[in-house]
Order: sequence, then structure tokens, then C-alpha cells
Amino acid sequence: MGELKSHALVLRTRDYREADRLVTFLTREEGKVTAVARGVRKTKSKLSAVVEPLTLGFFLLHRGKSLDTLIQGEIVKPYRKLREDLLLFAYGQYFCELCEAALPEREPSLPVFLLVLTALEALESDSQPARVARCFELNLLETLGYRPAMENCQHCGSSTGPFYFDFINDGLVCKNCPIPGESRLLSGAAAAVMKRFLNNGFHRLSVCGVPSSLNYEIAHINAELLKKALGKSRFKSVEFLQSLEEWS
Amino acid sequence: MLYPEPIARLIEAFQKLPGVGPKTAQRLALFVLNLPREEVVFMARAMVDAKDKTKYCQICGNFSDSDVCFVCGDKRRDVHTICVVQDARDVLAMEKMREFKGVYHVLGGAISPMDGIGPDQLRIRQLLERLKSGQIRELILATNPNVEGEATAMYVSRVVKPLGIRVTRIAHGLPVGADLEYADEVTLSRALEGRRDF
Ligand SMILES: [Zn+2]
Ligand SMILES: [Zn+2]
Repeated sequence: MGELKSHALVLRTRDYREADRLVTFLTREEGKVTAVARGVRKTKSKLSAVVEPLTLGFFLLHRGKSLDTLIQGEIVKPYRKLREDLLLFAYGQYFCELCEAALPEREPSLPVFLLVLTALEALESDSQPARVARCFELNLLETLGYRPAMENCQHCGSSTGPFYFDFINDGLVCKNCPIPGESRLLSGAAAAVMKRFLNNGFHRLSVCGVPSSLNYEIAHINAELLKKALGKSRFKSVEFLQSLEEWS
Repeated sequence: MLYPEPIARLIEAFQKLPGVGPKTAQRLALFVLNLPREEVVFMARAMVDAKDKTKYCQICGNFSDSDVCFVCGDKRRDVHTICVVQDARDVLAMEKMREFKGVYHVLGGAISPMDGIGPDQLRIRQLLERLKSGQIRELILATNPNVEGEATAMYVSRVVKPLGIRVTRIAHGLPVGADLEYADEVTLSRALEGRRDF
């Protein structure tokens, strides 16, 4: 007790007091933990680099009355590619914002920790960051217990598209069955990609072609599902991401 | 301890200062009570005056007491070179060095997507306006060497480069006076990349 030694991903930092930062970690052992990192805004602090957002490190935290304090830390993986490319950085920040919104403080969640590390790694190696994002969104939903039913029509079992995505029961309804109240049209191809993302995760993701029209369809469904699951209607990093994507 | 209302309010006010907790705030408040009245009035006026009379330079966004700051108003400065910084305090840090002869542009922050701070929340549009004059030859990006500062530098570079202006980034390196063995791997690898002939 009194201290926590853990691998952790730096999700977010905020300036705090004169030269400190408040750091939100996603720890392997205890889920989301916020701690103060003292003096890290000074050029000579040894801990400056390890508390940069999108850094995986190994940390020692001391538990305080109101705030935990970072005592030591070393870099395990700095995800340099994500810092050196504006679009990848924006995606990385989006992943972090989703994790931050998905988890309450100090509730251990090893699956989310492992999932986001896999996603960041895929982001570094995949040629299509949007595909990585869609796959991450769906697998995060599944990890949190909100897996949509993508196998076949929830009413008649048909597996031929196009479908409606039913937002009340979070699953597919084929076009021969009654149209659900709150729903959105979903092509058979987009449904197949979503199913693949859920069943295979990031495994061999790069061979799964996702043209931009499919990405657009899936992004809309995922955004609705995330809104419901995380109880948040807007993710700030999405705006920046969209402005970059329109540009390129 | 229970203080009379005016003192309690003063303590509360001091607690808003950075690095001041309840104990220090109490000490400061009691110190003020013991000062002569004219000193207290002087301090209070100084604060209000600083707030009311400080403006931002219309050209670069630096602190100023008039429409144009002391750098932009100085005819000897090289107006062909602009150094882009995040904060007006960074201008003061650069000026302490006394080596930079160009002018500045203060962005007023850094890109931080999770906090909803994007290019539109920074003075990037104003920078592009300045560049339209056609007399700028070099833009030095001196945003902070951290993730947000780096993203901001990448963004500015991306919008400015098509204009055909030379864009440079300040070097990343090891802090002077520190031991190599204590450097983290990111700093060290950046320092290695930025090496030069010797
Ligand atoms: Zn059906
Ligand atoms: Zn100025």
C-alpha cells in the first residue's frame, strides 16, 4: 500500500501550479490514475520526457491524501512515429481521449490497457490510420461490454445485406424485416468489415481493404455507439482530426 | 481558525495565486494587515493597473503597454525573420539571451486536441496575414520541445511551407550542465539526430 509500481500509458497532461503537470495515466494494474509530476516543466527535470502524452513507461507513484505523486519513471516505448506525424498524433490523442472517457479512476482494466497499446502499435505500422481507428472503436466497445450484433439479421437470421443498423438493440436488421425506429442504412460490405474487426481484432488488419465510403459508414455507426456507451456526445480531439482529414 | 469575513476573503484571494496553499495564503493575508495603509493601496493599484493597462501587441501578440510592443517598435530589428513562440513569456526568455535580432509571433498556446485547442484557437491566421507582406525570409519555430509544441510546429510548417518561406525549427538537445547518462532516450536520440560537424 501507499505506492503503485506499474507500466502505464500517459493519456493526458495538464499544466498544474508553477512548474508541475497533472498526469492522467492508464496503468496496467489499477486502470486510470491521476498523479502530479513535480517540476517537469523545467528544462532540467529528469521526468519531463517520460510524462509526455503517448508515452508508455514504467512508473512509481506514491499515493497521497488527495493526489498521487510521480516519484520515478522510465520510458518503455515513446511511440515516436505518432509524435512526428500530425495525423497519427491526432489519432493517438483520440484513442487516449476515448480511454479517458471510458474508464473511471482507479478501476483496474487490463483489457483496455492492452487494447490501446495494440491500437497505438497498429497506428505506427498501418498505412491507413482510419482503419485502425474504426477497429479500435469497435474493440473498445466490445471490451466495455457493448459489442454490437454484427453476425446476421437479429430478426430472421439473414446474412445478406444491405442492412439497417438498429440503434435500440445495437445490431443488424435486414431489409426484408420491419425497419427499426432508430436506425441507419448499412451496406453489406461495411457490415462485413465491422464483423471482421470484432472477430479478428488487429490481426492482419493491413489486408482488410476499407475504402473511404465504407470507413465513413462505419465511423457514423461507431460514433453513435460510443456516444451511448460512454455517455458523452462529443470528443474534442475529433474536431482536430476532421480538420486534418479534410485537408489531406 | 475562523477569521472575520474581510480577512477570510483576502485569504481566499491569495489562494488563487499559483503555488499558494491555505497556510501560505493565511500568512500573506496577515502580513498585508500589518502593512501601512499606503503600501496596501500601492499594491492593490499596481495589480489593477497591470491588468487594465497591459495590452497585446497588434503585430506579434506580445505583452505591451501600447499598440506595438518594444520589439516590433524597434527599427533596428530584422523584420525578415520571425520567431514563432507559444507564449508572451517565451519572448522574454528569448530576449534575455540578447542574440536574436529578428521579431516574434506569439501563438497564445499550443495545439492540444484533447483540450479542444486547435489551429483556430491560436493566432495562426494572424501569422499567415503577416506572411502575406512578402518580406519574410525565415520563420523560426520555437514552440516547446514537447508533444503539443511539436504538433504545433508541424502544423505551422505545413501551412507556411507552400508559401515558399524558409521554415526552421530550434534544435533539441541536452540541457547545458547536465550529465549524458541521465538523459532520457528521446532527448538523446534527438540530440544525436541534430549533431553537426565539429
Ligand atoms: Zn431479417
Ligand atoms: Zn510586437
